[in-house]
Amino acid sequence: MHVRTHVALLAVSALFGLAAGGCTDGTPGAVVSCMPPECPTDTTLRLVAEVDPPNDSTWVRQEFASLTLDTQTGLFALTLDAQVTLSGTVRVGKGTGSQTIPATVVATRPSRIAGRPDVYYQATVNPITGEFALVVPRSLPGEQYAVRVTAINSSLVPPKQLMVTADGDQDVDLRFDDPLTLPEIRGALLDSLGQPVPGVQVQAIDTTTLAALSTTTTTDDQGAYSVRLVPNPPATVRVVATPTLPAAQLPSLTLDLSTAKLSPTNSMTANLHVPPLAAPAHITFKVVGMGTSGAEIVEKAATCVFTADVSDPNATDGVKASYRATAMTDLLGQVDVALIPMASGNRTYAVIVSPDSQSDLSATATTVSIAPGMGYGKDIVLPLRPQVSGQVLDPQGKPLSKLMVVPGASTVAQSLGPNMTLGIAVTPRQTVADGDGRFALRLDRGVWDIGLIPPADSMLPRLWLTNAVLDADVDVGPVMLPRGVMVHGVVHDPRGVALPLANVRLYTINELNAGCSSGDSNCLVPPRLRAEGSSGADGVLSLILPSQPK
Amino acid sequence: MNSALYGLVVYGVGCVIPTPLDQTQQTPNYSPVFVTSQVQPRFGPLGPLSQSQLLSITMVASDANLDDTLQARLFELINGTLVATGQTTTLNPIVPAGDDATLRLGGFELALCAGKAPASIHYIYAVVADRGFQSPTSSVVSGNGLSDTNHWELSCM
Repeated sequence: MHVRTHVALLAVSALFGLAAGGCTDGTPGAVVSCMPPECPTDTTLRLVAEVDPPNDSTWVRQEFASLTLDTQTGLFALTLDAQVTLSGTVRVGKGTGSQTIPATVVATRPSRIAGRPDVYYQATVNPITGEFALVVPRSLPGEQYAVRVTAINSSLVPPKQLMVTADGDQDVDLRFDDPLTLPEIRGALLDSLGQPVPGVQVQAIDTTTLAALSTTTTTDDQGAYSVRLVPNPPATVRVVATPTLPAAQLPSLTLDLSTAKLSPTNSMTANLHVPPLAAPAHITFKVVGMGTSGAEIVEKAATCVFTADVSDPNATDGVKASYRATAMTDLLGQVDVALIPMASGNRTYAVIVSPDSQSDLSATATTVSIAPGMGYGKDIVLPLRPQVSGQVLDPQGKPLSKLMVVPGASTVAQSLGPNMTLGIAVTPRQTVADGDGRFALRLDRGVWDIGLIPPADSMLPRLWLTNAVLDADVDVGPVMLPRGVMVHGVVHDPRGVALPLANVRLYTINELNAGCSSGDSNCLVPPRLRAEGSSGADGVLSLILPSQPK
Repeated sequence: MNSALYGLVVYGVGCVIPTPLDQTQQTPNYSPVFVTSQVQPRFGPLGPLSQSQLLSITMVASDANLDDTLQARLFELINGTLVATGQTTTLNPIVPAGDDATLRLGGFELALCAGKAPASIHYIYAVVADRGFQSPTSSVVSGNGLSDTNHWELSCM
């Protein structure tokens, strides 16, 4: 490993000669060389890397949980680890009577870089032979992949998942069991008058991971359904009935079932009853806020999601019912939405309003109370987004114009927030510094990291202002970018063969992440992108990083 | 005599209708294009993903106009209309420019299947534009800008 790395570094040194380790003097457009160790890379940075080989390569995405950068020469090597092939055949049933089935095979595992999304590898299954070959990086000690095969037609067989240690090329048994041999849940979906409800999708899921544990079906004209569970299902599964058309204005139903109740014939019956509910009524809300001038402004393109628990409080069958309606505000700032009121009295809905990124108004979670016969609801008032402003200077103290300002969530939990869960995550506003290097942008209340991406011709490094608390306007004042130092790397395979056209991203990681348990999104701080590039035909790339502060 | 007069006429025409300077100096606007071999996950079938599966998407585009600022935006095709998902980002040039100075990189991180029905199929479009978009939710490029489009066929668990 060391020998290979050394060889690679020597190769890069030969390519770049004395220019290796050259740094910028901060003058826009000018690059000067300084001999090491005059301007080594900032050694306080803890660097990690992700490498995306091109799609037509035999190599797949890999992460480097630590990156060794020679701070004297500015050289580094990204030596891809060995890959293994997980292969097999996807068929339904065993023996001569088995059949191929169109399916996809996906392998995932937590990223080796804490705070980054799970890595994801996908293979398609040959529709004729059922064969698949999925290439993944070799597992590190204790590391496993969740390999999941899902039929394209999810009504035929339930998905199958295996935990695999990818320590070498191997066959993975992803044959589906004959669905007729699998546990069955069947029943009917009926309204409060006992009439069948057709056209509702039914599926069983894991109560913890929410992963699908059954085939997916749709209730027929009699409201009947039947799903097949995975072999050896967990002790409790959740049956979920979801209206397929939003216009159906029906609640989603869930029912937790004990699989211990499966009969000797490996089946059980579970009827789902829609609770008695009033007819949905169209209610109009106006979404407003107060602008910077103090005048009222209407929010013209906000996504509004209304949700309420509409379960029957007197029900004894354990069925939970929830209703959800999504709509966008119009040019008048009004949102018209069909909501289910109580038969008498008020029903409370939770509302999440997500304005677009250019709005001055903040995303807000609130509640509204609706009564029967109500045509207009109270205005939904959004607070003004606090403004973060500042001025960016180059290392000589001159204003730096055309710099891109890119905010990022300060914790993984914030980036995943309630909006993300509902599928309405909005990327925060980005802006460009003006001729005086000044920037100002309005962001939702919270804690933000502010990324500063200098213009390409400045040859300066990116900088992150961390933990900017925005509950009121904040001026971060003048921010001086550090000098840049050019580092040079090579991407190659374990045999030393260079890998061209690979996208490389260098991140810095927060030391506090070491104290977080894996998956603790409230603790983990997202790694910050410091530099990205693409390797050339010789596998070599150059990047700008901050130089050692004096 | 005639030829001299003809030459004078031509000279005069040249004086009356000069060639605009900006016309000769203007650089044509080239369209940005996705570098599909480097976009990950690759365009095409994607998933199935769980509702909570956060995905890191790498967007790579190329634009011969090196001063153009490229923006990429995600949409879902719903009833024949591209509906913005709320994801817009700038694709930045590589610094220092490598072998291909036209390349721009950027990305998204999001749970593409969040809030989507189980066992559903969705068509997620990516649009890259060289003059920005007309509005925060529009797929139409501002001014005389150009764009490129590609998509994933997303299945959700």
